[in-house]
Amino acid sequence: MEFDPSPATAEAKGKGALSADIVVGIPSYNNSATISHVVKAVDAGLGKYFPNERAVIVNSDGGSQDSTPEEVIRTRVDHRAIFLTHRLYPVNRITTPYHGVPGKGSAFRTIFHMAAALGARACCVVDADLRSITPEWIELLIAPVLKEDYDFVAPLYSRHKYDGTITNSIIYPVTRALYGRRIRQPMGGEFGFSGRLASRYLSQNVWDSDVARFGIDIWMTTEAIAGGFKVCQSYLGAKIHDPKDPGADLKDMFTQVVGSLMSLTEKHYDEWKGASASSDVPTFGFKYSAGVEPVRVNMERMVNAYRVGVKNLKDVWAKVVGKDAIAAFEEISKKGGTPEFHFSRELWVRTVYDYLIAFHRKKLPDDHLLGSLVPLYFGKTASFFIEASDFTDEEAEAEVERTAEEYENQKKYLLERW
Amino acid sequence: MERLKNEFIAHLNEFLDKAADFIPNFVVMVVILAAGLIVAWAVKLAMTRIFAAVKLDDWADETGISSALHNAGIRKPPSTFIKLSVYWLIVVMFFMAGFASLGLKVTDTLASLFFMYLPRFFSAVLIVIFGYIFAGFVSRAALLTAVNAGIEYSKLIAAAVRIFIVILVFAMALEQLSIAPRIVFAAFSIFFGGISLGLAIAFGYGGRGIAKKLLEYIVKKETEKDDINML
Repeated sequence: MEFDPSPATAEAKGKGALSADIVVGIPSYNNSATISHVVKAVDAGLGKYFPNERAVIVNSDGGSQDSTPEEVIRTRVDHRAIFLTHRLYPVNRITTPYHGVPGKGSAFRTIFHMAAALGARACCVVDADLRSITPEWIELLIAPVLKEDYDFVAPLYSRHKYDGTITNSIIYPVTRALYGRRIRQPMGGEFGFSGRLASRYLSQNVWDSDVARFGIDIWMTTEAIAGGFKVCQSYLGAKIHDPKDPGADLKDMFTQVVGSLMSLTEKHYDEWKGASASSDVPTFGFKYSAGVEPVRVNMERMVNAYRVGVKNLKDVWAKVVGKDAIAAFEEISKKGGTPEFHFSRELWVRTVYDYLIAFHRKKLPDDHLLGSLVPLYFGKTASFFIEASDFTDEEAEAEVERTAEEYENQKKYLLERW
Repeated sequence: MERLKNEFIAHLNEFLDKAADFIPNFVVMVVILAAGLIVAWAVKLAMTRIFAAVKLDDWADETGISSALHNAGIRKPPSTFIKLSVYWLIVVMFFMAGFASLGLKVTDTLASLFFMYLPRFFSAVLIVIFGYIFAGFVSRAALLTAVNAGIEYSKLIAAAVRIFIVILVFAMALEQLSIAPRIVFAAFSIFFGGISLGLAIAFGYGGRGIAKKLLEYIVKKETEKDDINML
């Protein structure tokens, strides 16, 4: 593959890092409070688990105004304090601004470029806002690629039962039902991947789409599965990170993530049409019970968002779902935020499949279609929160699994109407 | 008596001469009209087949054009509407061409006026069609934005947006047709000036309570955000 010369590559070459076995990418934007800890963990992980490999840490920054890149270069690790011997090669650090559409995906693109330019055999990416990352994360994301010849390593976390609702109600179960692989966190944020897969990612022309933003995670996972690459997952423990940017609009985030999922479903029809049932993927790491941070929930806001949707969007929904579904949405809405407010998994799965079909048939402009799904998603999420209020984490997880099974059961409905 | 007879014969000859001149022109007009009907029928038939082949009505349903036409009071499917419009346009064009062939000063002037007006007419029709589609698109975008912002009466906002754009579109179309452009401009300015003033008074004076509640809601919403990571 011909490499497109970029400032990042020039800088890498300028620093003498002409080749590397491992590239660890850290996309960032105003993360000076946390990135030092992440760099320390990555550096220690490379020192502890990969002392003989040449490694480069690449910080791909979105124009931070809080000295995030300086923190990356400034951070020092006391190797003696964590019982590390001298490395054969020093770990180079490169910090570079990324180009293109502002977003996580564009930051990743620069990291893929660097990995290709340096000829890396294994790469991983970790978020810059992580507070719970440990050196072991680097081993768990890189070792399956270097030592077991896997191409893609997805993360597996312990999460609060209310966390990751888009993942739990749409992304995980749809990916599982379509492609038949059970990757629990298909858009977890931390991934390991081979140099071969990085080159494959780079070769695709998606960098002006939602993939360049929040859609990057599900895109990476789906391309790995649909491309027939060897995939696995690694248990990393609890994921604790800074709260997302409060200014980030949920609708935009939802649209980018679910829109990317739908585009990928459209693109990979030939790969998913024949898959029936699903199977586990190999899982690495030592699973343990990890404490997770408590989560505040504003239930009233969610129920209200759903109710306002039911009041105003019936005409739009009529272009996507059947009359019986709209009648059911109205019935649910009448229950307010009471314990009877229940959005059944059968109705939810049918609705999501109807939306996938509507996306495929271009029944509405993409943005309108996805925007009209947001209130229904709030309804389903509120219903889950009410139902799971007394659940343990395991019971909540079992409910997610039942939803995933329902997606598999109704896949025939999707195929018949595609 | 002889004089009267000569006058009568002279007028009769004159009439017969004019009739002799007129009848071939009339026959030509009838032929042109008949040809117009045949051409219109053939074009309609061709359009029926092409529209069926490209599934025009399905596409119009998907893009929202059907519902835009429905909202505009056109109950027929888009393909039928286009076919009938083109059919009658061709008939009228041939009719005007036929009229012109009579060679009368009045019909000549009428026909030339008609054909000179046609480009303006087509521009106005295009403005109305695309205006309606645009109005449907923007009003639905407004509806979804309002719903996702949690606004109770989102439909009302969407309807207002649609009406605003439709009025703007019709004003543009009338301007294009050169129908009393000054009156249209004045009416348009007065209408929107009135709406803006009305809204300003309504919100500024009558809606103080609502504005207060809205601000409270926004502030409350900011402080009562949950900390779920939805991804």
